[in-house]
Amino acid sequence: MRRILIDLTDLELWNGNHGGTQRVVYNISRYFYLAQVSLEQEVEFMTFSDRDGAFHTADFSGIYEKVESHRAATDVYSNPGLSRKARLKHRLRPYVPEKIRKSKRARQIVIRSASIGLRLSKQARRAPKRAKSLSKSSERVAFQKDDIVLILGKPWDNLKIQETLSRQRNVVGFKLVQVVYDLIISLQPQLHHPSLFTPYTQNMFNAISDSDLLLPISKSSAQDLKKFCKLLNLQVPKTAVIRLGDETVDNLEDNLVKPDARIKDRFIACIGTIEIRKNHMLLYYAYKLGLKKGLDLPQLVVVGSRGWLSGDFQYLVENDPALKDKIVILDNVNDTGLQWIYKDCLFTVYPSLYEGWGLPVAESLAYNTFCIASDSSSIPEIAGDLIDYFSPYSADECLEKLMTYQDKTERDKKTELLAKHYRPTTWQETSEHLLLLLNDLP
Amino acid sequence: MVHKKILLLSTYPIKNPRHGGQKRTRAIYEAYKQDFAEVRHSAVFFRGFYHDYGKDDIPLGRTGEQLVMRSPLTGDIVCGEAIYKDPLVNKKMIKLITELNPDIIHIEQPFPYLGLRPLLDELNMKPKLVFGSQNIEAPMKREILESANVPTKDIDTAVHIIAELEHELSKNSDLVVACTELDLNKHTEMGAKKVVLAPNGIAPIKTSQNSRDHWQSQYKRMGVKRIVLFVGSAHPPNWTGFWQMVGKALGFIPADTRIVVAGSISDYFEREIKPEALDIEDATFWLRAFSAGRLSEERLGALIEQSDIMLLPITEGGGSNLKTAEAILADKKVIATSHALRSFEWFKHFPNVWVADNQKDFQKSIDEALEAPFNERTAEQKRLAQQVKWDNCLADMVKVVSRL
Repeated sequence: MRRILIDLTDLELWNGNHGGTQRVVYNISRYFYLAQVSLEQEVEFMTFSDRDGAFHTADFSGIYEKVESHRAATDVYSNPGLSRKARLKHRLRPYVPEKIRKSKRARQIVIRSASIGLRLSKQARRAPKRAKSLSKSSERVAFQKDDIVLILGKPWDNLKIQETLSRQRNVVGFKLVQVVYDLIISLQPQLHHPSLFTPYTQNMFNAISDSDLLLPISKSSAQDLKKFCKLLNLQVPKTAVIRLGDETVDNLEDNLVKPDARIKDRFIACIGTIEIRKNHMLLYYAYKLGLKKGLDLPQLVVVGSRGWLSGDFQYLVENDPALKDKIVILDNVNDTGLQWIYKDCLFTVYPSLYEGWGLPVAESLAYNTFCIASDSSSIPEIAGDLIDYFSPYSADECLEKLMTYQDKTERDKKTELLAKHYRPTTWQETSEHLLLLLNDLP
Repeated sequence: MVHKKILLLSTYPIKNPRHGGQKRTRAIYEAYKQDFAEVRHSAVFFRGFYHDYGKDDIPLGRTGEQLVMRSPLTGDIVCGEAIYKDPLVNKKMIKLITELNPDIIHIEQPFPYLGLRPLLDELNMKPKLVFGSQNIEAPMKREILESANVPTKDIDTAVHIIAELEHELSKNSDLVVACTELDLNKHTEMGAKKVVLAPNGIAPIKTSQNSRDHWQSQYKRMGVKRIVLFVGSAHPPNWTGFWQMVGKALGFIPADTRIVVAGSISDYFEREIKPEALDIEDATFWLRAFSAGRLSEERLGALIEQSDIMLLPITEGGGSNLKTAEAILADKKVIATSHALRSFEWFKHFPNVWVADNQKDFQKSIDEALEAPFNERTAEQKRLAQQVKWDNCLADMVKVVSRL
C-alpha cells in the first residue's frame, strides 16, 4: 500500500490561533486524518527535528484534539444555545466526505474525534495561551521508494528541511509534492523584509529542483513559478494549481458583537496585515483626494496586525486632523469580531500590490460581502467579474470605486450576483482535488 | 651546456607559481636552467599580490605600492617603471645586473622594459634582448580596464604606453617569443626580426592520497556526486568568460552536481556573489557552485583528477591558455569556447570535447557532457596530448636563444 507522509512541522508550535499557512496544513491534514480509512493509501504524519536533522513520525490525533477543543472553546459554536449535536454537525460538515459518512468505521472515528474536541473545550479554556509542542515525536521516518511526501507548510523557515528531503529523495527516490504559496519574496523583494529573501529564494530553488509535483495556489503564482524557473535556468517541474479552502461560518449574526466602539454605522472594511505590500497608503490617498473633492466617504475600518514598514501609514492616519475618526486602525480583533466586521460593513476594500492568492477577498465573498480590490496578480482569479477592481497605483480609480459602491442599489446588484454565483471552496474540495493529483503520480 | 648567462625578468615572483603568467615564467626558467651556464630570475612586484618570493625578487617601495593600490589593474606598468624610477628597486636591480653581467636578458611580458630600457642605457650595457610576449597586451589591457569601468582618460594613457612599448620591443628585440601563431604573425607585422613560437604548456599533475581523501570527504559531506571544474586566476577575462558562457543562473546544473571554482578566481567569486544580496541569481549561485579557493599543487591535482568535466569558458584575451593545456593533459571531459582552443585547434577533434561559443550551447554542452559516457583516446591522440608538456613547448625557444 502506498504511503502519504504529511509534514506537520508548521503545526509544532501553536499559540492558539492558526496563521495562513498553518491553516492550510491543519485543514488538509485533518481531511487526510479523517478520511484515511477510506483511502487507498496509508496516511502518516511527521515532523522535522533540528536536533538530529531528521523527520520523525508524529501523531496528528494529538494536534487534532487540541485544535478542535480550542476552537470549540473560542468560536461561536461554543454557544450554549446550540445543542451538542448541532455544534458537531456544523463543525464537521465541511470536512467529512460523503463516502466517509457511509462508512461505519469512518463514522465512528469522526464522531469519536469530534466528541473529544468538545469534551476538551473546558480544558482548553483553562489552558495557558503559550506556544506548545503539539507533536509526539518518536521514531525516525524510514522513507520508502513508493512514498508520497507532502509538504504543505513553509519549509523556508528552516532550510535543513528541504536539504534533508533532497538528500533522502536522492537516496530513496520517493515522490515529493509541495505547495507553492507565492514567489513574491523572490520576485518582488521590495515588498518584504530583506532577511526573508535568501532563505526563501534558496528554499524555492531547491523545492523546484527536487519536487515531483508543485502546487501553486493560483494561476498567477504558477506564472511566477515559471518566471522564477526561467530566470534561474531551472526546468519547470510538473505543476497543478490548487484552490485553497475559504469557507467560513454562517447564520450566526445574532451571536456577533461589534468589536470596537469607534466603529460607526456605515463603514468600509479593509482586512489584512498592515504592511507595505498591502498598500494601505492608497486608501489614505484616496480618502485625502475625496476630501479635496468635497466627497463624503464612509468611515474606513482597517483591521490587521501591524507588520513591516507600516509606520508611515499609521502615523498619517493617527495624526491627520482632517481624517480624525474617518479612518480607524484596529489591530487586536478576534475571530468573532472579524466575522462581525465582515457581516456589518458596507463592503470590503483590498488594495494590495501583490498576492499569491488574496485570502481576505475570498473570505469577504464567503460572507457574501461585496469587495472591491486591486487588479493585481492573483486577486482577479478569486471571483472574476463578480467583484470590481482598481489599479493599486491609482488613488483616483480607487476613490471612484469607493464612491460607486456607497450606493446601495449598485451594491445590492453585485451582492445578488455574488449570492447567486460565488461559492466558497471547502477544505474538503481542496483536499479531494489534492488527493486526485497524488493518485495521478506515477 | 651553453656557456651564457641569462637574466629573466618579470613583474611577479615564480617561487610558488599560481597564475598562468607565473607558471609560464617558471617553466621558461627551468628550461633555461637545463641548458645554460647561469640563469637568474628577478621579479619587481607588489607584495600585496604575492607573498612568496625568492632572494633576487625585488618588492616595490612605498610609493610604488601606493600607486598599485590606487590602480591595481595597471600595477604591471608601475612595477616596470619602478626598475628605473624607484630608488630602492633601481639600486637592487643595478646590483643584480652588474653582478651577473648577463649575455641575455629575457623579459617576460613587456612591462619590465619600461624601466630596464633607461637603466641599460645608463649602465651602457647591451645584452641580447629576448621579449617573451604572452599576449598582445595593449588591446587586452583596454578590455580589462574598460570592463572595470576605469576612466577613459586613464585607459587611453595606459594603453598608449603599452602599445608603444610592445611595438618597440617587437621591432628591436633580438628575439620575440610568441605564444600563438596569431601573436607570432602580429609581431612579424610589427617588424620583429626573429620570432619563435613557444606555446603554453603544462606540468604533469602532482597529487597525493591525502589530497584525494580531502576532496572525497568534502563531496560526501555535500552530497555531491559529479564535479564540473573551473580553474582560473583572478584575471578579468577568466570571470568575464565565465559570466558570458556559464552565467550566474545555475539552475541547469543537477542537484547532485557542483561547479567547483578553484584558483585565485575563487576570491573574485566569493567577493562578488553574496547570497544575501537581493538578487535571485546571487542568492542561489552557491547552491550549485562551490569555491575551492587557492590551492596547493597537490590539492589542485587531486581536484582535477576527481572532476568529471573541465570548463574553458574563455572569450577574450590573447596568448594561449594554460588551462587548455591542463585540460588536455588531464584527459577529462572538456567544454571549451573556440577562443580557449587557440593554438590547440587539433584538440577539438578529440573524444570528450565539446566546443560552444554562446551561453545556451555552453550550458547545453554541460548537460550533455554530464550524461555522456567517457570515451578513450586513441594511441595517436594520447601521444599528441603529451605535446602540451612544457619541455616540448619550450624546446624550440631554448634552441634559438642558445644561438643568439
